[in-house]
Amino acid sequence: MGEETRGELLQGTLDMLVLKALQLAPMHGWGITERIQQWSGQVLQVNQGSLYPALYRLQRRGWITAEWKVTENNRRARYYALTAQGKKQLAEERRSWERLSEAVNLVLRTTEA
Amino acid sequence: MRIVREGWGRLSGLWRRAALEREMDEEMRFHVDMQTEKNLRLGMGPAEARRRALVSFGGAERFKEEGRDEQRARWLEEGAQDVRYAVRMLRNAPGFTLVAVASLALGIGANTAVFSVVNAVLLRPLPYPAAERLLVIEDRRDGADEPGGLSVADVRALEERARVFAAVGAYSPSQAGTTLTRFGGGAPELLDATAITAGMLPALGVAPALGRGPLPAEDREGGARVVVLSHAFWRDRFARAPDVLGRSLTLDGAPHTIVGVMPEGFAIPGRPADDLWPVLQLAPPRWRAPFWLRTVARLEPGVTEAQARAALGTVEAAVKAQFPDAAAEWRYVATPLKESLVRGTRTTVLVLYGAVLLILLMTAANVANLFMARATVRAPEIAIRAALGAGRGRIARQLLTESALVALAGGALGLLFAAWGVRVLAAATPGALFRAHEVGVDGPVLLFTLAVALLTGTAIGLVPALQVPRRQLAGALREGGRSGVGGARRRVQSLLVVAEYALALTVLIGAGLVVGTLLRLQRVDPGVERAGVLVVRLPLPEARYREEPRAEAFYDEVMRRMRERPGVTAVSVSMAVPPNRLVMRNPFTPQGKTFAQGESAPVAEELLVSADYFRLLGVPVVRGRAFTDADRSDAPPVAIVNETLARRYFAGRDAVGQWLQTGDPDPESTRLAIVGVVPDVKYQGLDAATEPTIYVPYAQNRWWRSMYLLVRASGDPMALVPAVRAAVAAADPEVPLQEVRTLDGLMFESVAAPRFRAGLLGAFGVVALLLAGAGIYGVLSYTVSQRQRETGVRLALGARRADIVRLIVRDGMRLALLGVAVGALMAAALTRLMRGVLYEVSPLDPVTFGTMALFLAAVGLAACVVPARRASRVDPMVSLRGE
Repeated sequence: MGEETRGELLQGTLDMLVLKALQLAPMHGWGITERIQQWSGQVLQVNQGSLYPALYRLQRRGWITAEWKVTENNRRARYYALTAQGKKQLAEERRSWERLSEAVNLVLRTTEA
Repeated sequence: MRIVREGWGRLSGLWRRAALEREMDEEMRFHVDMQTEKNLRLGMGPAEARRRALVSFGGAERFKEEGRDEQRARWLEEGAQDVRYAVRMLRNAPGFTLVAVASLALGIGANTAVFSVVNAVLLRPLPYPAAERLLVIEDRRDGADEPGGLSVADVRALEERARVFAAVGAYSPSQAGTTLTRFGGGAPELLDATAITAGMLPALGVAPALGRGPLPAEDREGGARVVVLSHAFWRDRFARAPDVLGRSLTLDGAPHTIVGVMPEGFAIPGRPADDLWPVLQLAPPRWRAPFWLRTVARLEPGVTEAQARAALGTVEAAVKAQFPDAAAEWRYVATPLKESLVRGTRTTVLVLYGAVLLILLMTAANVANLFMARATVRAPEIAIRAALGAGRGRIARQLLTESALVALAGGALGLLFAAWGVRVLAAATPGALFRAHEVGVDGPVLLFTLAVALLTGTAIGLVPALQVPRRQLAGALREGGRSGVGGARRRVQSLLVVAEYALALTVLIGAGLVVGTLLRLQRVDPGVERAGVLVVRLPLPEARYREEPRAEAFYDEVMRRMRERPGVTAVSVSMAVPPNRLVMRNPFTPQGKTFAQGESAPVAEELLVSADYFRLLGVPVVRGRAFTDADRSDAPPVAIVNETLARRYFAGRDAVGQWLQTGDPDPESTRLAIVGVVPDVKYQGLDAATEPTIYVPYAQNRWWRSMYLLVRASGDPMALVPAVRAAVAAADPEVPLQEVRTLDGLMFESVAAPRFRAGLLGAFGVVALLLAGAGIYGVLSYTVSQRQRETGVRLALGARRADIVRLIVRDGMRLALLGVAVGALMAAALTRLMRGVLYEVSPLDPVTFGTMALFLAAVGLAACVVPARRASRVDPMVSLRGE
């Protein structure tokens, strides 16, 4: 299960990943963890203890909305969807993440050289 | 709108916590189930799959807790932050805060004060058990405006025959008042007392704390004379002595035995200050008239008002059968006690409250405008906060916190102002406002103030909060908030100003109408010369003045002594005095009148007067003569009538020389020869319609023992009071002086209620005027400062300063005139509710409407001019350069 390489996600980063996960289509909490796990090549395992607080936080900020729907298996689940504001937020966070990681990479590369 | 939804969502979240818990649970369960299924698919056994799923969840409860805490902590933390921030913002703008808080204090305080009155007079229940089962029974004549009191016959009939009432009690409002006692060997003194029948205390449902009330045997002629003390009297005069029962007090010259003490705070309806309650002894009635008793009846348990009214019909029939000669065009009417007590004042109180509510709305509009202007100035700061991540809801919540704080501060200050105001109100209100002594700032009033403050604060805060723009925050940052005035904002401000003007005009018109009423009342000619006359009531104790000659001798002696005084030009006694101290009305039969079947005798005001009465009051005798000393008990009985009676019942003939009979129609009763006709005089209030009046000489009708002494002198009438006291003491030291007034004073008092209304509404009118002026001034100042650049451009392009002024004034006056128009419509719709308190003024009086509209427009104009002139003095170079 890749426990050794499981990454600890910072709160801000988790928010961004959740927003990204929802960019494709609305999904329930379980589906979000699966998606992130899949897309990260099983590296990132989202701790449910951090996921749901994050979901509530994002909901309160107005970046996602929640709605009770029925799954394909006829089960009741709470689906989260990205809002227009959330889309903007995702784009911004992505930009700052890219800038940040580029800067970190720069520092690391310089030291090596 | 989303802010409202979010805020509401959060509020209802508190309530829906249980539902939220359930939802969270369901969500977790779904997740665990899905993980379990996945584990199963990965090949684990069912138990193992579930266990690993739960473990990986990391303890559902713990992070449910975290999720919950997230929400709650956020709430409190943000709330505290909001309050701290709001306080800092308000402290940074002391001028704004001061004006806002002060305005709200005025508006909320006035509301609280008047609401205290509404509460005490209209809302609070009466202090008797099951007070809603108490009725007042009155006699309504066909064609009479108001029902009148009952007679002894009525009361006895009700007591004996009306099974629907558990108890019936009666007292006499006109004879209620001070009575005389000699206590502990000291000088005679006056006390407040009301005589009551045996049924009164059982009807009210309050039993004496000590002893008992009067017994049925005691309120008849010949029964034992008993008295019940008030708690205060027992405490002050008897030092709460437990053996007070059985002791004796001399009241009105007759010894009364103390049989009971009432609990603290007890009073009979409408008579809050009584010291004690002697028994009212009623002699068996020989006629149905006169009508001088006020009755309170308690419904038997289980009996409805409808059943009671039906039962009254039966009693009516019995009384009519008992007195077949009496007029029969009357019936009993039953009114709930509370309604009967507030009858006259309900309109006044509600009109006052309506006015003060309008003023609160105006204050709120003004302060909302202030907040909106300030919100524009703070736009950059708000934009920054939004950029830093605060949602619209958060910002709006913070603005609402500010306005709520301002409103609460204003409310607290207003409460202090109201506590003082209520005391002033209660002191200034004439006896007309029943229960004025109960008015105070208490529980319901405090709650009301809090509610009003919160509502006002929310309303005020919502207006700018709803205006927090969604997108243009960046734009607001860039141009420092001056990038053009938001169109929506200006529209709302203009709307507020128009609303203020409408409200102000309504209040002003209301004030104008009651002031007009007062002025017209004061100009009513009472029919007498009012200056320089002293009026004193001299009630004779019945016990020592049983024989009529003794009573006459007393009054003659007092009059003789007063005539000897220097400066006294005329002295007289009379049963009633103008303008509103009429005591008796009586049916009468004019000569030549025959009654058809079922027709009742006309009713006239009747007075017993001494010979000098007309001369003293300056009432000319237009036909015939006045009374002389020759009209004594052994001379032919005579009467003088007023012009209204002569015109209505002796039309075409000379009334002098005709005769009439007073009392219930009886061919055998004494015929009074009419010897004179005088002009009409008002005895039932300046606003009452004129009625026929019959004067008879006191010397021929000496049966009334509570005559008024009238003295006309040069100089100040009140200076004669010691002389009157001396004269009365010389004639009989135990007769008290009551109701010492000048005739001018009586006239003044008779318009006390209209004067009170005019004064209060007038004050409200002035406040409304100031608020409206301030409102337009504020909005225009703000607009002017916002349009500085535009003004600069205009000036640079060659506009004259006068043009600028005209432009601004035109803008402002447009709002004002629109407001005046709307206000006129609103006033037209509302003032008809005031009809009850107006005298000879139509609710749609065009003069009032016109003058107030002009007045308000003028104030508006003045308020426009100052900012307009300031705008015109802008230096175009400075404003074009910007910032």
